Amino acid sequence: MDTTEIREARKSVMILIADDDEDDRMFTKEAFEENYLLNEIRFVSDGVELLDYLKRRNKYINPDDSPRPGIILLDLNMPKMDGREALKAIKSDPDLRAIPVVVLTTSKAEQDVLQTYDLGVNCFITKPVSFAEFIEVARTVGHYWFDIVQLPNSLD
Amino acid sequence: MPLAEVPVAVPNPFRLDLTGKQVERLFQISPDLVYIIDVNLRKMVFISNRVQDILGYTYDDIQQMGGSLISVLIHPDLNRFVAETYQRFAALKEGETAKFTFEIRHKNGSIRSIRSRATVLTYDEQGKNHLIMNVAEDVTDALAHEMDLQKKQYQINETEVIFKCGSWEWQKNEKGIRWSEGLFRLMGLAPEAYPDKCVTRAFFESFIVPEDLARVQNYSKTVLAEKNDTFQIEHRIIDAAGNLKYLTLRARCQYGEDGRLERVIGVAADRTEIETYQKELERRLVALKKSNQDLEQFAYVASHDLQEPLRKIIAFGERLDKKYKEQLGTEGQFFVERMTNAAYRMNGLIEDLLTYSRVSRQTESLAFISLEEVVKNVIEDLEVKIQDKNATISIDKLPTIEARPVQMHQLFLNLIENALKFTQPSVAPVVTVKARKANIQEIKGIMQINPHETYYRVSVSDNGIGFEPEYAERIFTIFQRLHGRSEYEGTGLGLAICRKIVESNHGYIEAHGKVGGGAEFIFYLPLRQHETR
Repeated sequence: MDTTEIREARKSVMILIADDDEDDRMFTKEAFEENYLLNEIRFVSDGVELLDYLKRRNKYINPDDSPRPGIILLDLNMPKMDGREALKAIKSDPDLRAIPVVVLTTSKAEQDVLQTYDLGVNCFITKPVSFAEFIEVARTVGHYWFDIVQLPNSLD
Repeated sequence: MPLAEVPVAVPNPFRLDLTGKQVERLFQISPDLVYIIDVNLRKMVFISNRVQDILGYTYDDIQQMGGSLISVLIHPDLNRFVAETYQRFAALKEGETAKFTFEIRHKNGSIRSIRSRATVLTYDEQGKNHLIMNVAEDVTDALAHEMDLQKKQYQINETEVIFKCGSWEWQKNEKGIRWSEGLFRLMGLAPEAYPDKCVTRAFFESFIVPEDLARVQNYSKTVLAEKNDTFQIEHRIIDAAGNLKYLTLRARCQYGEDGRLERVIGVAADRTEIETYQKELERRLVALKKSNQDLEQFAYVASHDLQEPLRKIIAFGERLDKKYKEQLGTEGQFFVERMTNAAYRMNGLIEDLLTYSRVSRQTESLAFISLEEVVKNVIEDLEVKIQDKNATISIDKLPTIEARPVQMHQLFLNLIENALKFTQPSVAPVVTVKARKANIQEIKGIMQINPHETYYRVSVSDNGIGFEPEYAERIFTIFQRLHGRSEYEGTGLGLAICRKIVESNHGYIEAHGKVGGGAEFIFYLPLRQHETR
């Protein structure tokens, strides 16, 4: 594979971010852009919308509007259905459980870490306070999930 | 000693005429002391020689005392007693017996109690009482015994009143159960209403609340079936006045050689007060736990939710500084820096608050850990700071105890960091960590500590700036600082977290210090944790 091919491979992984906070969405987007990660990023704002998206229901009924994500970044504290419930639903669904889920949260609480790993999360990341550090985290996440890890091929 | 010939009346058909000598002999062989008083002459005319066994005086001794024992009689008003006794003798009716008890001094000086029974032996010519025969015995020991019994009974009664208890006894071949007065009172009954103090088992069971009756009966059956010699059960009764009472029943059962129950002796104690107190305590404990949980939940949620906007202030500040550095200018950059610093400080406060609230949430499990390992790890974590400060940390042999590992790390980290923070400018810091088993003298006065457990006394001392002794308690309070932030960094939570950690591991922490003389933190931790405590 030459450099272009690698870029294309990386680009093809779509990132779905579930976060209810507009500022946080912006920060995450900016952090990925700072690292020249050119992947497509889509947003949903709570657990209910996330599952609608993944199961192509309601406003996501059209498959063109809801391409299968290569990875999901999940916030834990969200309205309607929080990250824990959404994670449980994803990991107990045979069609969805292959999609890697990364919990990205402000929580450091051991109970949250234990509980989400229990529910089958692929990794748990605490958002650093400093934005400079967050950019670093985004870089590492991108490197790990898009360069190192072999992701399952999308079946769509 | 002269003895008049007296006709002795012996009931038919065994009529017997005895001579004076024979009568005297009869009196002399009697195991009782026999003496005869002449009412007219007002003197003793005969006394059997048992007097020597009982009172120590020989006939010669008595002769020397004028043939009378009145001089050794002990009475606060002797003349009146003697006069009254003669009056009583004179008034004795045919066949009547008068009883007297008096005290008399033994030849050896001891005081003997004599019980005497008087009857008329002969009459004079006018038909008046003449000779009075007295049959006496030494009742000193019997009286003392009786007195002792009375005292014991009194003591038992008082004990039963004070302790609100009663006792009972059952014996084979007895028709009922014998209750003590206290037990009647316990049941709300007047003891006087039950002269023989005996009741039936059914009578007792009629007081037991219906919900408890089957349990008590089954228990009794089991005890008897298994031939247990002790019996203990708690149950409720409703006494005769309608009060609900909580009783503890304890008994000892004795079995015969044939294995059959022979005797049961038991005690019933009213623990209603204790029960009420305990219930109230439990109720308060539940309320306290609930309130603590609410508070912790609040602190946790608040800290979390406070963190969010703060992170954004920091992030936007950093974005502003990065993207618009030129436009901001030097002053603008300075403002942004001050703003971000303030936000970072608040972030530190919230982090510490979270740690503080997390300590009491007990999410971490217990393990046996070497405190020496913990301290070594802490020293590694603080490597840079230790080198910067040119500090020496010396550690003793530290024990292995049962505790929460992360909390222990945090505890030593906070204490050693604290020691490295409050240093004297021109002195190289020395921090000493020591440990030994605590002795009972040290821990007996500490309320948080169970003196029946093994505790270690660990101390972390330094040669830093110390503090005024009056602040020794206050420094453990949340957000309490003794110095301005510009002098020493910190959130004011470090030591509060230490105290919370020590206390949640069932220990106790205190601080000693003086200005310029360094500080010493001493904490006691148990060797083992008991989750039920």
